[in-house]
Amino acid sequence: MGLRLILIVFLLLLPSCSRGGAGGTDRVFSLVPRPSPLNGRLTFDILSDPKTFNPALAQETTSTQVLGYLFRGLTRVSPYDGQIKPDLAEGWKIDSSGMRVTFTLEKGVCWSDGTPLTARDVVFTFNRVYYNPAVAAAVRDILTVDGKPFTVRAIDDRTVIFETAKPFAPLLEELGVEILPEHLLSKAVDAGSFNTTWSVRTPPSGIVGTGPFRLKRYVPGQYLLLVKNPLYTPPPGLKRPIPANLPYLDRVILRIIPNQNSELLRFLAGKSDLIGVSPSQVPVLSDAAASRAFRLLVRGPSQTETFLTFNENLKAPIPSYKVAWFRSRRFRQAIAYAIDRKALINVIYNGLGAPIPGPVSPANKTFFDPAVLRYHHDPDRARTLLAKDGFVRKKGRLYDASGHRVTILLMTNTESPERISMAQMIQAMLVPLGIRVRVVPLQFNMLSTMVLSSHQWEMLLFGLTGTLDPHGNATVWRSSGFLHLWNPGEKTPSTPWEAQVDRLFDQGTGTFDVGRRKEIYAQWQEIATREVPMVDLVSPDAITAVRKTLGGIHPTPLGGVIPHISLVTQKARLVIR
Amino acid sequence: MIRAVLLRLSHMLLVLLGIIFLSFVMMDFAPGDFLSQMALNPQISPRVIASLKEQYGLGLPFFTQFVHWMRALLHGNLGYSFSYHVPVSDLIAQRVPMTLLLTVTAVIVAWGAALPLAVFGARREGGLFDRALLSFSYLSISVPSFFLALLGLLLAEKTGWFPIGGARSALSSGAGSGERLLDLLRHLVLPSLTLALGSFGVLYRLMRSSVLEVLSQPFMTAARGLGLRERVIFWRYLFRNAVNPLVTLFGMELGGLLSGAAFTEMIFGWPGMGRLMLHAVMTRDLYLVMGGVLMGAVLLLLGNLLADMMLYLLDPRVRERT
Repeated sequence: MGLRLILIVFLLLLPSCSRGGAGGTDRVFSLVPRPSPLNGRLTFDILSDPKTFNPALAQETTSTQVLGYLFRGLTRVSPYDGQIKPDLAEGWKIDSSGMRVTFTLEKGVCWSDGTPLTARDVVFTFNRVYYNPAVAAAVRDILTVDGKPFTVRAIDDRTVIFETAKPFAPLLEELGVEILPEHLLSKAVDAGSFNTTWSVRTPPSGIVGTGPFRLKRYVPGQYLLLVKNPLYTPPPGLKRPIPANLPYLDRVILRIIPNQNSELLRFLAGKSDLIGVSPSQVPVLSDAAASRAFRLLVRGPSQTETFLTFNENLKAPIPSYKVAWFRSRRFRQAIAYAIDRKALINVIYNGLGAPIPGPVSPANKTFFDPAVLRYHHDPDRARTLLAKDGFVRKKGRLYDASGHRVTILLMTNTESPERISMAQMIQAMLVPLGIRVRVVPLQFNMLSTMVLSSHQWEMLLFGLTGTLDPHGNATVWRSSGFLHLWNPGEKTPSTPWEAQVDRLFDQGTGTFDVGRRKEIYAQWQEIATREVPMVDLVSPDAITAVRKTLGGIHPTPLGGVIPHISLVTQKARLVIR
Repeated sequence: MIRAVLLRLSHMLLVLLGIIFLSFVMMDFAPGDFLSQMALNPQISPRVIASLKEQYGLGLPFFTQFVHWMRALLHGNLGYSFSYHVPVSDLIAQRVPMTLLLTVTAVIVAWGAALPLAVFGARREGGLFDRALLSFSYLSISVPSFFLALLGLLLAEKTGWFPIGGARSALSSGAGSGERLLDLLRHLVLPSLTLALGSFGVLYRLMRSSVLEVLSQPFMTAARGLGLRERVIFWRYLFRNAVNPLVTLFGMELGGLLSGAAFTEMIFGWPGMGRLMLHAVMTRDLYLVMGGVLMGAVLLLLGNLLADMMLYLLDPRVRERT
């Protein structure tokens, strides 16, 4: 982290030195408008190779990012407000029981090899691929209700019915999973070779999707070239500013650059069109923005957030008096009040971040409840809460009612230098309360074993990937959830408020009305912030640097700076002098 | 000689088996496996992880896994990569040529520059040229390769003479083969120079001190006193003796051909083995790691064998002993 910063500063110093010198080499970029903004080419860098071109097997973000250009699902999420919009489907009807949703497919959609898309493809994708136990599909879980798969059947070529064992509102969002072509893949499923089908060794022409682009070339370790899919049918309701066939772009080039410094240099040199920026890179980039013809777009808090949680498991192999502290709401609240989130943001994220009050990020405009209890930095209040709970302070050290000195091990994973510095800051912030914290950074696999299997931990600083629909939090917040970190897999809820959260999650998934769901999940957020089993901390701002040549760019809270890839244009050419 | 080589080969087989077994044990001892990364993903349940574990054969006892892998290995099958879903041999075959192109070029440049310059410098010990090169070699030893690589990238960005990373321009494949070769060479310059500079310092200093030592030997004076021609003195007495300690180093360098360029590959985005292996180790892609270890170990052992054979040919003392 520190080293990276030094390097960046070093990189930035150089141009300013040469500027003064005779025959300064610093180049100035200017823009020349292109005669037509169409048929342009978009270039950006990704950090590693895709691991597979098979959407059912893709597990990490590089593969899913690439596949997002090549494949589509029945629905999509609007990046502006998180609403579910039709994609391959023209629309859907939910019957009165809420257990049956009928989808009508968009007319005239074809696979990129010219075969028409039919309801059979949808049925195949679910019944033969995602629900097939022989397929290594990690998404299977989100396509189930209480462990039971959806029943999927075709009525005619354009109509598919999804039936669930009980009403399941997140269904619509989850049907954004990629639909696969039966005519090309059914043989592989029959032969049991699906898990090695459409690998990175498959010739690009063999990968057939319905997305705006086709894979043209993949050179391992170097780049991917995507070209316009001439048979692409855009989703209904997409407003196109220029009347022309979508996508506007002709080609997308994704260069594989495994190092963030090189990625930054390449962007500065005009070799790529956009780049995700971490808060520590902002000072450097904002100086270069004008001369290198790009804009820095700050999109507000990202979905990456960090939280603190406590081991409330009565059976955990740690001293039982410690579990008793952690099970006290006042103790948890005291910790929440003792943490100065502004200081965390200033030190860790260069001031470019936001405090996260509860389990739903403010970036999630649909479900975030602004009325939640917020913990401002208030050490006095923290002391009062501890005193009410029977803790006493002697000579700057805190003791519980039975005389145990309050010392806590705080674990986090070594892979994230940011989390380690955050843990050290929290350690210092708890000193004024008389709490002694020891920071224990552990390797990820080790940490996950200790937290999930041996339960030998006290306090944990960690982050989990957020989802748009609050239902994605069920595995963490339901008392029976396997990631119910503070007390995993409870047989019955061990506190009344956990029982209430369980009920709310049941109601939330069973209700389709968005307004009603908002109210239900707001209640959950209020309980979560009152009981604080997880103390939510901070999130860095999501920042993207975008070359000014690009059109169709709008910062959105949920979908980056590109609301829809098929609407991006290259308005101008970059001239480097 | 042949008997000695055969004996060495049989020893090597044992060492190789040891390396493989130990690596397998260590991969098994480290906490977690390829699927552990998923354990803290709220969208993937322990049930799915368990079923994947069964599919990948990761739930089997350690010894069974090892025996399965060894049996496949004897049939020339290195197994499947968990993350790429393709045979490990395919992945390695894809990357080896690129890494070799980079490292062999670097070795040729480094040795080709260091040896003659060192001889030249040592003969004029303390001269301006010698002192300049000596300080340069200090610098080359002390600057870490990743920093050098970053400086290289910066140079590319500032001047525009060289591409910033990668091994090919994205759209060059359409061009003629001559142009493609030129494009590849242009991409090769900076990473190979970075690597070469890193080993140049060591080689230069070693060769220089070795030459100085030989120069001070009585047999050199004797050879001069006998009035031998300067060329004969140089090749038969000076160079042959001085290069002796470097031959062992050369063997080691052969061993590092596949793995020694990882940092440089990462920073320049060179699509080689180092990057593949680093990622494999980080994601615990068991059979891919084992494939890489196997290749590296074989190359290291062969390099050592080759070095010993060269010593045998160069050094009569070694010949006598065997």
